[in-house]
Amino acid sequence: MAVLVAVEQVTKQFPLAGGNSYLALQGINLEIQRGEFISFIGHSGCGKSTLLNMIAGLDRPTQGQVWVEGRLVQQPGPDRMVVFQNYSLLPWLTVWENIALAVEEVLAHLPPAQQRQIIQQHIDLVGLTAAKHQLPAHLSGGMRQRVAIARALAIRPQVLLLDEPFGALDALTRGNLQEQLMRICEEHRVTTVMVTHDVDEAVFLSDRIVMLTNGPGAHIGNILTVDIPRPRRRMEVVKHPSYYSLRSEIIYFLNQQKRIKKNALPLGDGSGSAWSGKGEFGTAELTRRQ
Amino acid sequence: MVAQSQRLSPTPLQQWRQKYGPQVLPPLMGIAAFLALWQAASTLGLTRLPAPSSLIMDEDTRTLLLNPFFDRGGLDKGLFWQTLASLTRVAKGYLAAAVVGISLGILVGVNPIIHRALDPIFEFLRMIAPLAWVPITLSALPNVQVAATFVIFITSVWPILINTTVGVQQIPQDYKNVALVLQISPRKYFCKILLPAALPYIFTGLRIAIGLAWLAIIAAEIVMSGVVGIGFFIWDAYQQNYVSEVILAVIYIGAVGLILDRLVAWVQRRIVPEQ
Repeated sequence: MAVLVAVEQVTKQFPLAGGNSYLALQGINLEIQRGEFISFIGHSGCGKSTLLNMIAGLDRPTQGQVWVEGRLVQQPGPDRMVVFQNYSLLPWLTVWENIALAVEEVLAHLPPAQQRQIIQQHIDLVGLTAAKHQLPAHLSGGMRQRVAIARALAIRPQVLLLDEPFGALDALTRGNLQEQLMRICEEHRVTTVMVTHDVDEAVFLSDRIVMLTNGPGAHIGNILTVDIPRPRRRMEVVKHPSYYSLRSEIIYFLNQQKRIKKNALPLGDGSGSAWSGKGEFGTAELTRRQ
Repeated sequence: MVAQSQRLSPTPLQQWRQKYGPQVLPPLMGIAAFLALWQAASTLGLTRLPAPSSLIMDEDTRTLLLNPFFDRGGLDKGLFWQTLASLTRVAKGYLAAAVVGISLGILVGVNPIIHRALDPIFEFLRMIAPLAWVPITLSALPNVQVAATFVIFITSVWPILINTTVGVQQIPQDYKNVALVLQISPRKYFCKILLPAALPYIFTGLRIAIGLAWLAIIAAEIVMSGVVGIGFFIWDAYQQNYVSEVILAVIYIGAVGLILDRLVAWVQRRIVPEQ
C-alpha cells in the first residue's frame, strides 16, 4: 500500500502570553497508508486536535513537515476535508445549500447537472433525503453531523479528517453514526484520520490506533494495529478475541498517562526538562509492553 | 338559565375582551391616567403648560390637528408636510450612514490593523452629541440643507459602523475554517458567510441608528432655523408662545419615531436569517 500522509519529525510550540512558549507536540513521526482508518487517542489537551489541524493545514508545525500525496502541506485545501466537532454548518443555509456551497466551489469543473447529482447522492448516502430543504437549526445533533460528513465526502477528499466527530452526541446516535461512517469509509475506500477520546469508538472503527502521551511535549506513545477483519459488525467486533485485549491496552495506556500527569504536577510548573523526563519514562514503559 | 346561556356563548365583545383585554386595557388605562393627571395639574395652575384639552380647545392648534395637509407656501405648512420634510432629510442622512457605516464597518472588522488605527477616532467621534456637530457642520458646509443631512449622517453612522465591525469580528472560527478548507473565493465568502453572519449585528446598529437619526433631526432643525421641518416648527411655535402647537408637534415626533423603529424591526425580521 502507498503512503498517502507522512508526518515527519513534527514539533508544535504555541507562544504564551508571558513571552514563553508551550511545547504541545514533539517529534511526531507517522505514515498513513491510502485507504487506512487511523485514530488519534489521548487525554484532552495532549495535542491530538493540533496534530489533525496540521494535517489539514489549518495549523503549521513549528518544526518538521506534513506531506500529503508527496506534496508539502502549507495551507488548508479541499483534498483534506475536515469534519469539525461542532459540525460547523452555516445556519442560514439548508442541508442542500450547505453541501452545494462545498461542491460548487471544489468541483466547479464539473457540469452543474453532475454537481447536483453528487449533492443528491451524498444527501441520500447519509439518509437525509427528507430533510434536504431544512435549516440546521431544525435538525438534531446527529443529523447535523451527518450533513457535515456528507459535505466532506461530497467533495471527494484524499483524506477525511474527523475532529471528535461524535463527541457531542448521545450514545445511541453515536453508535448509529459510527456504523454509517464505517460502512461509507469501507465502501468508498476513504482514507480517514479521526481524533477521539472514546476507546470503543477507536477500536471499532480503526485499522490503527495512535496513542499520544500527555503534553507538554506529547509524542506517539504507541501504535496499536486492530486486527479485526472487515466488514465489521458491532456485535462481532465485541466477540472478537482481540477486542478486549486492545481495549484494555488502550485503557492501561490512558491510565498510565493520567498517573504520570498526577505525579508530575507537584514538580510541573517551571522548566520544561522535568516534563520531558516524565514523557520519556512513559515511552520506556510502553516499549517494554510492546 | 339566561346567565348560563350567556356564559356558554359569549358575545363577540366579550370574546375580544377575553382575548386581548389583558394586553390592551392596561396601557390604555395608563395613558388615560397620565392625561387626567396632566389635565388636573394644568387646570389647578400647578404648571404653565397648557392642558391636553388645549389641543382641541385652542383654535390654531385645532386647525393644525384637523388639517395636516394645508400648504400656504413658505414655512406655513401643515404638520404632514413638516414631518415629511424632516423624514426626507433623515432618509438621506440615514441612507448615507448605512452605506458608509456598513462598508467601513466590514473593512475595519476584516482588517485588525485598520481597526487598531481607526478605533480610537471612532470612539472619540461617536461621543460628540448631535448638537455639537451643528456649528462645526455649518462652518464647514454653508448650505443649510446639506448641513442638516450631514448632522443626521454623523450622528447615526457610529452605531452602524461599530455594530458591523463587531459583527464581522465575531464570525466563528469554525465558519472561517470551513471557508479555508474549501478555499472559497473571496466574493463567495463575502456573500455566503461574512454578510449573513454579520447581518444580525448590522441590523442592531441600523435600529439604534434610526432612533438617533430622528432625535438628531429635531435638534439640527431647531438650531439651523429657516427650514421646513417638524423640528424648526417646534422652535418657531415656541418663539411665538404657541405652546399647545409644540405639544401637538411633540406627539407627531414621538409617533413617527415609534413607527420608524417598528419599521426597521419589521425589515430586520424579514431579512435576518433565522438561526
